Amino acid sequence: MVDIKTKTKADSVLYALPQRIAGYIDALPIFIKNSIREIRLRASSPLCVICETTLYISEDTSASSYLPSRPVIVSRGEIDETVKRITGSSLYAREQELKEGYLSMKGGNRAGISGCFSGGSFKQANAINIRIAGQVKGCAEPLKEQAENGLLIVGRAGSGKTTLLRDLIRLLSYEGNRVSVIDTRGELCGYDCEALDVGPNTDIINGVSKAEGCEMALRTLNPQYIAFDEVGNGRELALIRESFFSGVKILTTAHGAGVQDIKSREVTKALLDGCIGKIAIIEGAAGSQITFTTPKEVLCSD
Amino acid sequence: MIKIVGILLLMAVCSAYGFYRANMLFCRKKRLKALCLFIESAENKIRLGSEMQQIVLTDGAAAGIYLENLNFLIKKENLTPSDIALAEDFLGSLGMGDMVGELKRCQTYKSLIEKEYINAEQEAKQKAALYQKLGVFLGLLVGIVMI
Repeated sequence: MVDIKTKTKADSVLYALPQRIAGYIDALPIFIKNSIREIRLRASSPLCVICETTLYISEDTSASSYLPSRPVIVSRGEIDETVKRITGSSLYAREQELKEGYLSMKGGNRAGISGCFSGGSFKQANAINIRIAGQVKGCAEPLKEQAENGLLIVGRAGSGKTTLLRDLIRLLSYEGNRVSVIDTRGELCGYDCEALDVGPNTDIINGVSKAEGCEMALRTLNPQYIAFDEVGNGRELALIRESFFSGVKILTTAHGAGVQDIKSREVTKALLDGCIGKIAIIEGAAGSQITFTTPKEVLCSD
Repeated sequence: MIKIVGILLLMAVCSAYGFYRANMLFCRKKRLKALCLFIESAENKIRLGSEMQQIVLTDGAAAGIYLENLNFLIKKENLTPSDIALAEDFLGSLGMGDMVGELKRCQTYKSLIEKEYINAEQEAKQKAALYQKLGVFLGLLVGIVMI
């Protein structure tokens, strides 16, 4: 009998997991494996996955929203092994990423690391959160029209900002627009640039800071749109603004829950000053409800 | 006739053993040299940010280093227990530190293995010919006694 195995979203990160943990994840029903957004490994704690809700994995390979009587406990050795697998046994090669608390994985996936840092360098991981990159083709259709003069996508962590931005890049690119993506952490397009579809007219710049990437793109790639994920701090934004000139539109994302958050954060407030034309605020879970506003409206609101 | 063939055979075995022991000394020297070259190459590639698994897969074979279940291991043939302990100590946590630490580790172990290499070279120079000659003479002695 031929064993037909359907490929699921979770399969793209199994390579990074220790054999025992990978076995438990692989044994989950397909509908759960397809909806996994995060896999959380904490030393000496139960293994859990995040779908719509948090699911704990039991030793009998079942998943439940309450803590089972025999949960799968992740050992410290397994945490170390996962780091080893993700980095290819080369912590030094990923030092910079580790200092920022994450590790890029194949296919645009990302592992958030929490642990012990000493003297500015990484020593040991205590917990790993593997975030599986999602591609929902067509989800950014309502945003396409609004992106003409640049767009800022605002939402809570896990609301689908990156997924929306990725699809927006794809849609604009398929319409013949030249899009340059500054993918510092390999989260938008993946370091391999093949696993996720971002369109035929998209140029991807990996592994440089957003400011450097913007400068490189403007100098050599003649883009119509420049896209990057999450402007981190004011210094970064100042550098981006310096290398920026009119005619190129910015597509980016920022953390926040609403208009008040945009106004209260210095970074997002600075972005409103001529960089972008529209703001999309994600209010529902996983991008279910999007409202649009303009920088002027945000700045004038109380 | 059988006695002569037996004596010749014994002489050949004794000589071969002498050559085998001498060859072991040369092989140890060769292995330690390969290990030094591997560390040197790893040092350069670490500076360039290459992944350790990749370095071992491409350069490790010549030095007898291989990857098994995420662990870096070394083939033990022709090495002394102290050489093996040194190599295993080096491979044990290879790639698990920051770049400065890794480069320092590489330099330290390279100098330690180089010392062993110099010792192995001197040992081979002094003892290899001796083992060969001893083998041949032991064979001759056995032959003479049996005659």
